[in-house]
Amino acid sequence: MQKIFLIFISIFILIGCSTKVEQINYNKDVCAYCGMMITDRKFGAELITKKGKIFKYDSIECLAAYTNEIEIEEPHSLWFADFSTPGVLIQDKESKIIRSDEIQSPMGLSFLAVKKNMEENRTNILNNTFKEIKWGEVKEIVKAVWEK
Amino acid sequence: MGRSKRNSESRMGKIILLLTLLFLFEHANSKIIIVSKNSGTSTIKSGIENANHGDTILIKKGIYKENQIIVNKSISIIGENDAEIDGENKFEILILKTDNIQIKNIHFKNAGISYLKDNAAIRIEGVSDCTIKNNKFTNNYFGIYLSKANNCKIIDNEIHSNGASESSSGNGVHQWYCKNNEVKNNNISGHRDGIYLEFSRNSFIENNKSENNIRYGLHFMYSDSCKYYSNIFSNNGSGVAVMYSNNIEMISNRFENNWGSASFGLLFKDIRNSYVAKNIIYKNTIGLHMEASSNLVIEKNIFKENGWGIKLMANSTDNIFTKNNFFSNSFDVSTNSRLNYNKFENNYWDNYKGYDLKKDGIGDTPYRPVNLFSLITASTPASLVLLKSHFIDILEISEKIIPVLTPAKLLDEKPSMKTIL
Repeated sequence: MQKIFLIFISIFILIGCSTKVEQINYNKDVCAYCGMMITDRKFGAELITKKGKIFKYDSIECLAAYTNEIEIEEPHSLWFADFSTPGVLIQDKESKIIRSDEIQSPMGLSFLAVKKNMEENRTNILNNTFKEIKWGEVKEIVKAVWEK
Repeated sequence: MGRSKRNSESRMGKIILLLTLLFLFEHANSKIIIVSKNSGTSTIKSGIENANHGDTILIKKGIYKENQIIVNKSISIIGENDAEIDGENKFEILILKTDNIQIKNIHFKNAGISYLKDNAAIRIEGVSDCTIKNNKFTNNYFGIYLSKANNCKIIDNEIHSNGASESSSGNGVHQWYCKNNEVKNNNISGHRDGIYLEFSRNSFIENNKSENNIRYGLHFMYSDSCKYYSNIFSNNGSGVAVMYSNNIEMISNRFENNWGSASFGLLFKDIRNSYVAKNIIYKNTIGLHMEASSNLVIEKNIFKENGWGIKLMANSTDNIFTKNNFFSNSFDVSTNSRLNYNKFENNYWDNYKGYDLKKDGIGDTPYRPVNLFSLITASTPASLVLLKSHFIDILEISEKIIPVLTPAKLLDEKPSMKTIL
């Protein structure tokens, strides 16, 4: 009996602290930074804190601004929508952020994320005018443009 | 002096005469090309090929399955009744690539949904002075997409999509880096945003009906000096969002029936120097949500039967709320701070319980629109279940006698005793 009880308790604890990624519920969820409804599957981002709290955003810009302006504990992980397979979230470790003037992101700064190892020929939708940007730079750009 | 004036007048007359003649000449020279299923010119593309500047293409009744039709001549394309162009859910339908094009009376349907490209029934790209009038749009990904287009008119169109049931949908009328466009008398439904503006200037939006769109009825991003008058926004995800924009005039619109946990009639985020008057904000979860906005004048509006009339975040400053009417809102105003740098004056509050013994039409004691309970719900949303409980009533009364928690400076010094219209 005690054993079963222990198992249950540990299951609850494990579920409670889950830091698993949660899919964005498009057309329902609201961006934690700007308050806009999240609608575009090519964009969107997610932040998971170490305690397992999840924040969802409509764009990479908003996630960057959120981490710039609001004090949070060290995040567990960052996730971005994969531009080339809309609706799928990829972790920051496995992705690269690109800036392309041809793309209209929901917040207007034209950031998008794709898988790191994505074959080059799939980026031809962007006519090769893209430029890879590091996360630190993204945060700086957002800061410079939005906090005039 | 008089003579030189007469001279210039007669010169003016000559110029006008010349222009009229030129115009007539041009018209005499222009021709009408008929596109019909059972004639030599059976496709719109071939019609455009045969046309010269100034010509008119008349499309006879029928369904034309064509897409990526490029219009690179200044012509008019006019449909007879029931002239339909079907994009067959592939690509875009019509792409306007030169100035002075008129598109009238055509039914556009099924511009293809694409994740990677914003396909539209009509794309107006980098040109000016085009008119899109009296057309019908059904089931398109984007309806009309204006990209770097100026001085265009979008008038009397029916733009509908069944986006609500689709997983993805574009905007009804989309403006990107545009100037001086007019959007008038259109009915728009079932898109992502009914009308969307990004990096655009001087747009005039009047008399449209935008309803049942997934996100917003109208949405401004980084768009300055725009006006919208006499529109109806109802049953959208939320009504209208004005974000990161300056100098917006919003007059005589209706924002209604936006229900949902975070739905609002009107959202202001990071906007400045704008004017909001004579609007009706009716039956929304949040009537007006205001964040990081300043120097707005909000007057003569009606806030009726909303959950929250106004949610005013403390980072909004120097705004004036005057001569507004508040009827039957669960909360008139709520905020997230004890500080307030905005001014409320001369509004009518149906919750005001004071008297006017001086008979000057102004209540003798100030009205505090933020009640204690709205403050509690702002920090702990779940406490909303206590709404209308006696416990809360007792708290409210004690707070009214000795205000401790509610913002001391957020009050209407001169509440109006009568409604203001």
